[in-house]
Amino acid sequence: MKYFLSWVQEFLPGPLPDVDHVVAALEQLGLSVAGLERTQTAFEGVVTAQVENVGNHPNAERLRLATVFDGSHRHQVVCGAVNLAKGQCVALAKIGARLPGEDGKSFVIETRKIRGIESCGMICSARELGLGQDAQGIMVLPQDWVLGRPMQSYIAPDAVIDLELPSNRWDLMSHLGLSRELAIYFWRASSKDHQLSNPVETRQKISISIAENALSACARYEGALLSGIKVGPSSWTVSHRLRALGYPTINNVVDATNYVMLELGQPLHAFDWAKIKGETIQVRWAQTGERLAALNGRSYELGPQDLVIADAERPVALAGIIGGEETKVVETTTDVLIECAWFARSHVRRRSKALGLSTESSQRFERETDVVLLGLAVNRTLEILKETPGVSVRATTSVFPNPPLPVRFELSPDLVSKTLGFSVSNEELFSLLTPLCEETEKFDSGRWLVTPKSWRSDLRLNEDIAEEALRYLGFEKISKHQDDSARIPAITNIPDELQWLEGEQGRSFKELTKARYYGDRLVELFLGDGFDEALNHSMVSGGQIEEICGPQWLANAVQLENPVSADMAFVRPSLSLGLYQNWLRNRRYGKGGTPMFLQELGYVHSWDSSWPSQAPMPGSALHWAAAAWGPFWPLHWKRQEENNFDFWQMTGTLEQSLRRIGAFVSRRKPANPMASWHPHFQIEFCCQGVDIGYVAQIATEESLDHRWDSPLIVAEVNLDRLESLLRGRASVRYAPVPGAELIRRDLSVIIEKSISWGKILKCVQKELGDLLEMAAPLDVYVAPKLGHSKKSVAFRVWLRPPNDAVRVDEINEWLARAGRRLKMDIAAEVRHG
Amino acid sequence: MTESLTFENLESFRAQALNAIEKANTGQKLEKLRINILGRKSSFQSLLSGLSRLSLEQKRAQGPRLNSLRHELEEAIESKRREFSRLTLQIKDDGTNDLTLPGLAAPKGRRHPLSVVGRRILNVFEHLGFRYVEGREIELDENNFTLLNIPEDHPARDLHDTLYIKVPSSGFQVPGPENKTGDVSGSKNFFSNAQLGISRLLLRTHTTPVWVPVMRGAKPPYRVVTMGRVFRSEAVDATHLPGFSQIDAFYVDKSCSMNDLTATLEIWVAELFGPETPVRFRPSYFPFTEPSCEVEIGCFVCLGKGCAACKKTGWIEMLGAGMIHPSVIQRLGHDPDQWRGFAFGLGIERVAMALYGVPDIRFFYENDVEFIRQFPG
Repeated sequence: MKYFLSWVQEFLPGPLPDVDHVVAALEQLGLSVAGLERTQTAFEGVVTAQVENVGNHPNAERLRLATVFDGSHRHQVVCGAVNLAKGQCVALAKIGARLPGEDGKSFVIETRKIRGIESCGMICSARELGLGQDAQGIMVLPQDWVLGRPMQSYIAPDAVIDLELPSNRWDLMSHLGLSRELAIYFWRASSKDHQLSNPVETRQKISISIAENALSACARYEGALLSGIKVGPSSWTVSHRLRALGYPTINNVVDATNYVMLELGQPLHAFDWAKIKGETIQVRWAQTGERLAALNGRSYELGPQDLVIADAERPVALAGIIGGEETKVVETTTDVLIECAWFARSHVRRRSKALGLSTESSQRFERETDVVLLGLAVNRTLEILKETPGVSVRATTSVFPNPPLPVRFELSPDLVSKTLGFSVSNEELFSLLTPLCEETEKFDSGRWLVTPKSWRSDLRLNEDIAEEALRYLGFEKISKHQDDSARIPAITNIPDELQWLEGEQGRSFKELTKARYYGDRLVELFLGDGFDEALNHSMVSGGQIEEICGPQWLANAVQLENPVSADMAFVRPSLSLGLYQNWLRNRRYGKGGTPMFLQELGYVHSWDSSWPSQAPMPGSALHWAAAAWGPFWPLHWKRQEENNFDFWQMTGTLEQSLRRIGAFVSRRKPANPMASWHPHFQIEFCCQGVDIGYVAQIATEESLDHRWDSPLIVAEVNLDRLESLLRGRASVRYAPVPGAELIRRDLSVIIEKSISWGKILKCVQKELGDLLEMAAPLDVYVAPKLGHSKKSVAFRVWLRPPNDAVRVDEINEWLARAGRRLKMDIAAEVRHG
Repeated sequence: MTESLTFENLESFRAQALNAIEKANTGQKLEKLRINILGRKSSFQSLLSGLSRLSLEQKRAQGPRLNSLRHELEEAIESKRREFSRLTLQIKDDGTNDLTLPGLAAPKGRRHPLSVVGRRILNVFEHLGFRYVEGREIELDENNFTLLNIPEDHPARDLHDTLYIKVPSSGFQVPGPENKTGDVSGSKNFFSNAQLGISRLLLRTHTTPVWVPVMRGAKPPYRVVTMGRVFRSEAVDATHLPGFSQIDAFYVDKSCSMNDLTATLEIWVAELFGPETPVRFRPSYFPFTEPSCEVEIGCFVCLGKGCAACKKTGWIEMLGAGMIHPSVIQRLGHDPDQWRGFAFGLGIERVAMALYGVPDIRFFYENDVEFIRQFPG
């Protein structure tokens, strides 16, 4: 909210220090200064003057020619302002006057020809004088200002401060509120109450009622009826202040309500009494089907959830949010009803959210308003409006059936010191409490009974008072005490039970943390293989899920009720979605030549019933994924061949890495492949028969584009599942290093194409058992001479004999056994290499 | 060496062999020679293995002779080999050997800058005795708000514009006052917010809900730290994203105070940004802490002079902190007269932006390879 420092000053017990000190004080109080605008009188030679005559400019349609009298001389001035009118008192920059320029450099007014007519001076807008942002028209000054006097004698240097307020400090949303804060900070005193005339009491009353069932939403309603109103422009002070703070000036009645709202924090509303039917005001719940044409030009359909202000026939305002168009104050209005009420914040908040309608008024009500302050606010409004002659107060009425009792609580000064970690003396504390509280009663027990002021309803606990002490005393107070008394946590034993607490899905923190640990290990290992770490948004579009994962995934996807945008409407069920988007980006941005190796660690969610979940939560899992595209080896003078990262490099790298973290995996054909997977290049990784992840080539139209000769390969691992499989695994035991040297032999078989390497390997393992250390395929080829259903697989075996004294014929016998087994089990035709 | 080797022509064999070794001019030739002279299939070896068939007397006479010859030949070969090794180093470099040519290595990947910064921050807290626990991204309204002192209609919910989850009504039992199961006819049915109440699901708006399972489940004292994604319904711009990362830590003990909190955070700042970094505390407001404060550090980009990173104030906002609100301690099952706690939280993106001078928060989630590879991950 924006504040005029001079306005705040009106309530203070003494003069404020300079602006810099005030800003520093506000910062210490936790009120961030978002903007500071000094309205310096950075001009010279500007005087008050009267517009005596206005004529048209002969050569320009939009310009006019004014004769202006400064008390001693008359000046002819060319002016373009639309609001220029005869009789106005204006600010005239005479020849030789110095004005602050837009760019910070001042400039001098000279005699100048404008479209052929000489202009001797300039009639200024507030902006041109550096007095505000208003550049809409010239500044119209009060009529009683003496002509020819320098403007400085009327306008003192001032500042407009824009503050970011904490959401619980609704009481600061007014000039009075800020003054209370500064009065305590600088003077340890209360702010001065506004100098007010005695409360206006009239014998005549207006019919105002609050429905019994609406009292919880409207606890108090004050009405004041004025007659003899002449609707017109506001006084100089009111309009100048409103405009400088960025509020429109509408007419003297509406401006007065806005002015009092900014001054005291209480929103008010003015009705044209002539339009109120039945001369009665009812605060009640709306009936289904009732409508209100509101001031913002829109019409709202109301229901029993809407609290309305109604006359005898229809709603005339939405309580605390907006007034009705039909009953608004217009030029012809003579009798005005001023409404000043207290509406429950939760009600206003709910309705304002539901209607998507936020107003100055609703913003204040939904934070809280001071129910005690209403009388003052009404009187202040009447005071401003009665300044115009002929205005009289016809009737006032107050409906306030259940005034709330003041909130009290017991304060222990000791506990305040304990919370802060340093001692605040009782005197210091008491001097702070005096302006904050109606009453502070000290007991012999050392405890105090405190009754905070009505506007500090947020003060309820020792801790609240501790915070106030910190704010007004300053955090420096702590650092002075810190050296001798602060205790800093050191490494200590954490209770073991903490690890076994239930976290997500009823799994302990230890297990969850372990899954993240495995994820971190995988990330580290893949960093070593050239994979950069990526972080993608958790939200994706439905279209992406459907394209990459498939329609079934979309049906189970976790959907947002109020997404930021359509491309962030779902929570990702797989990390591959983000990595695929990254590939599109890295490729589209003209970087076709740059390889992309990315990996990511993050959570995925789904309603899929096969995912472990705890009602009412969707299933969730920590996943790791990687995507690779492009040559693995950089271009190098020693390596000539191109080496695009492919399916096998991914399966190999992942298998090796999983082995490093203790998981030995087998492969199988995926049972539920994703929509975007290449039908031939997809494999599921299993650990103890449970699938923990996959490797697949992505086969979207984009990724299969012939311009990219490199495949896009994606791998993904469910770390939670992996963790559960590795849990409770026996720890690794030492085994003696084998003494005998490895023996290397090559074999070659011709078999049916459908027989996998895995089957060949199994056969050999079965026959040779511990003798077989390792086997690796060397070459797989098909040729017409083999027959169309056959392939040839050459492979190497490494044998580990029991000791070094092994004879060649023994080795040959082992190989022959393996050959016989291959022939028998998979009908292989064996050729020794 | 065509004629077969016997004990008689052994001497000439020796001379020939030594001569051949001497004449060998490459390592390969020498190795071939070694196999020829002493290898398993060599005539010398067969002579050696024939020894066993001889009489004891002959063995005594010829055995040592053969052995010493073998040693002599082996030594000759070995010394020649060493000579070759020495010679290799004496070859003059004629300039073809350009050592500035690039070396060959498989590329190494980089950590994401947010991951680097997050781990650095976490590390300091772990050294201060905070135990890492993992929170969850989808939370109950109750844990995210109500239990943390943010009831429905609390104005603080404005700061946390929340992204809610549609809860399918088929097959789910909703705990809470209105324990209704919705229409089971199709998967497109969802529970309404009113039906769900405090068990409404949302994407957590802060990492603070991790307090709930910890404090409900274990008796203090403890120190806990967590890190993860949080979500707000914010329009995307240079400083706002609907998803970003936070670190949240808290400490509950019999006596702990604002004094301890500020001292702990000063240590944290010194560890992360250097001991000379100025720190200041300012009052602030969070519904779940009282008193609350904000922690700012002297801008490390301009050293307090004022620059774009600190918005010309000389200070960069780092953390929100405070004493855990007594009513939160109570709601989570502990006696607020007995236990006090302090807590703090921070956004990782903000720190990373300041630390590396990244002007736009969106860059972090675009995953442009050339962006990620700029950072010393």
